[in-house]
Amino acid sequence: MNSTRRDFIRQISLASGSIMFIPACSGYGSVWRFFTEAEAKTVIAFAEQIIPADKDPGATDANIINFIDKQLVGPYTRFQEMYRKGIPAIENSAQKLFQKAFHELGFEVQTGFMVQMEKGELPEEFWQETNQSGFFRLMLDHAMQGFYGSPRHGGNTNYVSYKMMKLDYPHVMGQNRYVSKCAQQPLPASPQGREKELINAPGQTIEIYYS
Amino acid sequence: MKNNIFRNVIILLLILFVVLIVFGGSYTYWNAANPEKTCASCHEISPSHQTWASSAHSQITCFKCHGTALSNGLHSFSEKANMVFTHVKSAPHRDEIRMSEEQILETMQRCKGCHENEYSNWIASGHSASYSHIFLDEKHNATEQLNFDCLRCHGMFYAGTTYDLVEPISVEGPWKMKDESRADLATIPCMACHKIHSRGMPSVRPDYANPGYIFYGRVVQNNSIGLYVRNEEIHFDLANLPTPVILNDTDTVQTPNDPVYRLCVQCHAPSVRHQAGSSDDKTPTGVHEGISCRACHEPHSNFQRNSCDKCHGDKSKNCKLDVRTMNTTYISPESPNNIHRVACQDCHDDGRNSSKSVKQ
Amino acid sequence: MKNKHINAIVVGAGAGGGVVAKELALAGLSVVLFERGGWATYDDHDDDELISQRTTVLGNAFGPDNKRYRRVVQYNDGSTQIVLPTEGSYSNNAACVGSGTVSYGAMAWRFMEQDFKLKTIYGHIEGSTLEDWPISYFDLEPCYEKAEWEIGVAGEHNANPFCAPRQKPYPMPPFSYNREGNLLSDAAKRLGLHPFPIPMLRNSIRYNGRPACYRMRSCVGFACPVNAKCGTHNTVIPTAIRTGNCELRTHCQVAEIMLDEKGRATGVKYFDENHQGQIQTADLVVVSAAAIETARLLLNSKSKLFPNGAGNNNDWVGRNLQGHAYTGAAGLMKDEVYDDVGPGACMAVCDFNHGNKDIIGGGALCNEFTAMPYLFSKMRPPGAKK
Ligand SMILES: Cc1cc2nc3c(=O)[nH]c(=O)nc-3n(C[C@H](O)[C@H](O)[C@H](O)COP(=O)(O)OP(=O)(O)OC[C@H]3O[C@@H](n4cnc5c(N)ncnc54)[C@H](O)[C@@H]3O)c2cc1C
Repeated sequence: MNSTRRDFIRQISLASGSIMFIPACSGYGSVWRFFTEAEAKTVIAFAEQIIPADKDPGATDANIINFIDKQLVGPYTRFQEMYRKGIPAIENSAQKLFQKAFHELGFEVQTGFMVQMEKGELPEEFWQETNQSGFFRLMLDHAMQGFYGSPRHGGNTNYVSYKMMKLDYPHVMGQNRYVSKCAQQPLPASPQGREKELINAPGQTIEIYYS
Repeated sequence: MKNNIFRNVIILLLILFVVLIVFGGSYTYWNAANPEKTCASCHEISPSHQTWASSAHSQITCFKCHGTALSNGLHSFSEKANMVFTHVKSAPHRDEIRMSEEQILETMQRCKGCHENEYSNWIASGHSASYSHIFLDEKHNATEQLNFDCLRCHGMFYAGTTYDLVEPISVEGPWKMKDESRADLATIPCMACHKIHSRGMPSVRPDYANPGYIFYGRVVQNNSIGLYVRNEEIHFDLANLPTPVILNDTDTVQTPNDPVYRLCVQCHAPSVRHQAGSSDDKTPTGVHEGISCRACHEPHSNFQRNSCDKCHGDKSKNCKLDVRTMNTTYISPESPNNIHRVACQDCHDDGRNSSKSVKQ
Repeated sequence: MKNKHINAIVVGAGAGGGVVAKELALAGLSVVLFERGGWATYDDHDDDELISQRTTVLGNAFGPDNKRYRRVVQYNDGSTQIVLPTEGSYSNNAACVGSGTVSYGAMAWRFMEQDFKLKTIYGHIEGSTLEDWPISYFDLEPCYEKAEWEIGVAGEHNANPFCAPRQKPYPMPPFSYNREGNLLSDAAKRLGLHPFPIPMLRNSIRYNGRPACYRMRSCVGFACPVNAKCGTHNTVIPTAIRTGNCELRTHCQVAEIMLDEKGRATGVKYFDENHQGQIQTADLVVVSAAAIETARLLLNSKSKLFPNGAGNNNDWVGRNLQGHAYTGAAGLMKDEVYDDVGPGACMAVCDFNHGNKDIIGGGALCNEFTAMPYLFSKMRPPGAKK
């Protein structure tokens, strides 16, 4: 009891005090947890190369950057260093080859760049600390996870990838309970042609499909 | 000695007075000022605030709806304090901000203030079923065992699991709520199907008097409708809900174009083989194929809005049926005239005019 | 507080441990069942692919957790590496009450008669330690039957002509095929093969006080939302606990088996849920911590008689580890073959388990469990653009 009262008072004072602090808080700008704005631009362009939007949504629509950003301060903390070092290496390579930032390159040019990166053919000088094809594979994998994983992890906004595959989500799936007589449609034949069986439940007979 | 006490009391009162002024002042300001200066200045909820600002509800200030958090009283104080506390302690990202079930239910009480009609329709319907209603239903529980997935449609905002809610999890019963205080809470509150913060103005209601408008080519979008998906803890807009493939034997059923159908079918869903009429599915086949749920059901009450009379009022047309005296039950799967399924050949041999006696 | 001496300790509440604990408890022995994980439920992860058992990239819904349970992998060249349970080379099964039986695909195969006599049939194989079992199929047949009826298997008992003789049918009727299963079954018949529905540890009807399966796509690698998948966590372990003789201690990691001078087990040392060292003594210690952890526990239990770990005086503990050979072939079909009827796998042929020309052994061919999208994205037709 005592401790909860103390907690309460502490919380109240925090609450009223915080109102004064609000102007200080409102300076908080970045939407990213890990990336800098510049890094984010590189990753967004990279991911869009992996899964470009066509008639279906692509990496940017699926917010893959948000997925990677979120995981890098969560389960993927161990990959932070790879990204911190790998992104500048991409940018330096792009500067050297094209005198432009990676995200400013034309789509085809970016594709060519990434083919080189996968094969480990970008200028060695920038890739002393990070393995370029290793980093390529890591980002490829993370992009795929962001695109196909559950939106709760930050990507696959509104299950865009499932929609592309015509896979319903949320899953349209009812209970076992009702088997409407009027709706009894022959099911695709089961191996022994036994599609349903009557079983006796307490007080009633229900039909169960071996569905 | 006595003097001392007196002085102490005075000092205490003074401190209290100052605290009250400061606290009360900022508190009044907090509740009354433009949200941009108060609530929304908190970066965590700024996206939510932005959608609100462009929504039909933008004239209604935060505290009018967010009852528990922004009303006065001890409970709300501690709740607010808690938010600030978590904010300072763990700085949750804006993606992670959620309302608790308690807050959702409280907010619903505020919806009622303006949306009286919808609310009274809802309260009178099956959609307002309480936890005890759903989870202590003996007939149901004896046939379909309670399971984790129940909460997908009933109790989507509940933080626990079905196993925390009811015992025993068996088909034998007798069942009871583990926490009696949950018994009367609503399992499908407004926010199950509505997003309060949603961009844009409400859609123009379809012309229900014209059934054609409802079943063909209806593309009207209503941004405020969306299913709350428990697994993901977010709303899915109508546009993002899938249109399921429904089969009538091997034929594909023409499902209603009305996007709201996609919402209904989420819970009124067929079993895995997606056969029309299996499990809880009510997708119309037969003569009513393609008709939107909303053509006959008022969505909040689920009542048959106009019953059959609406289209079949004129006895000289439509098969010369007197639909007012027909048995058009649909709840019972045994009904001979299940209106979701009824087909020409149910009444007509070889689907033509040699009418069989109309089943009663 | 000191733990009371008991009759039997069972280490690991998985497939094997659950069954043993139940038998001992029913026989009236006082049992403590140790499990390093906790209870895993559907709500903890629902249909989240990225933490499911087959795709543990963001975590493992069924344990063990990355913090407490790292492993050191030693490579042939002697180099070592720390691996996390969520990484492939950890070779994780699971760590929770029921272990793999919570999240498995739940195929319920019996060995065939030949599987017990591989050396007799195939002879000595150079470079292998292939041996016959000291028991035969018929020694195990009653146990198979008991397990099938107590845990629950749905299948067609006389549909597989290669299946070893059995006394009793399966307790539940088989599952019907999905579209893929129908297609493959027809094709197999055309080829003169003998397709049949895979026996499955899932309820096809209500059984054992639990409901029938409603055929989710997310089945293998996930816990069941309706509790229709049959594992030790919802059958034998609850039965064991209900006897009143079995205490389940979750989040307790057994660290060492204590041995006396005669080399007999006297109990175990373990770390409880608060990571505190504890001792439990017992007349009997059963180690059922799965292939890798069982060996590790034995190797870590050194005594005067067993300086190289319990039972390891011949240096065989932890050797001959047999992985699960699970290979697949995929093809592009002209028509849509996917109908979203879970769990995918439903049809098998056992025509190739034995008697293949120039091949030692063989295996069942089945249609695959539904691969969730991220997992599926790794599969590409040859020559496809990345
Ligand atoms: C995705 C997947 C699909 C599968 N599909 C099938 C299938 O279709 N059919 C089939 O037959 N099999 C299948 N399996 C395999 C099956 O689950 C395992 O073979 C089986 O569970 C092994 O049983 P076990 O008793 O040896 O070990 P487990 O069941 O793994 O039990 C070992 C238990 O011991 C615990 N433990 C380990 N060390 C300690 C310690 N020191 N202290 C305390 N506790 C400890 C572990 O946490 C674990 O819970 C599948 C497995 C997976 C992961």
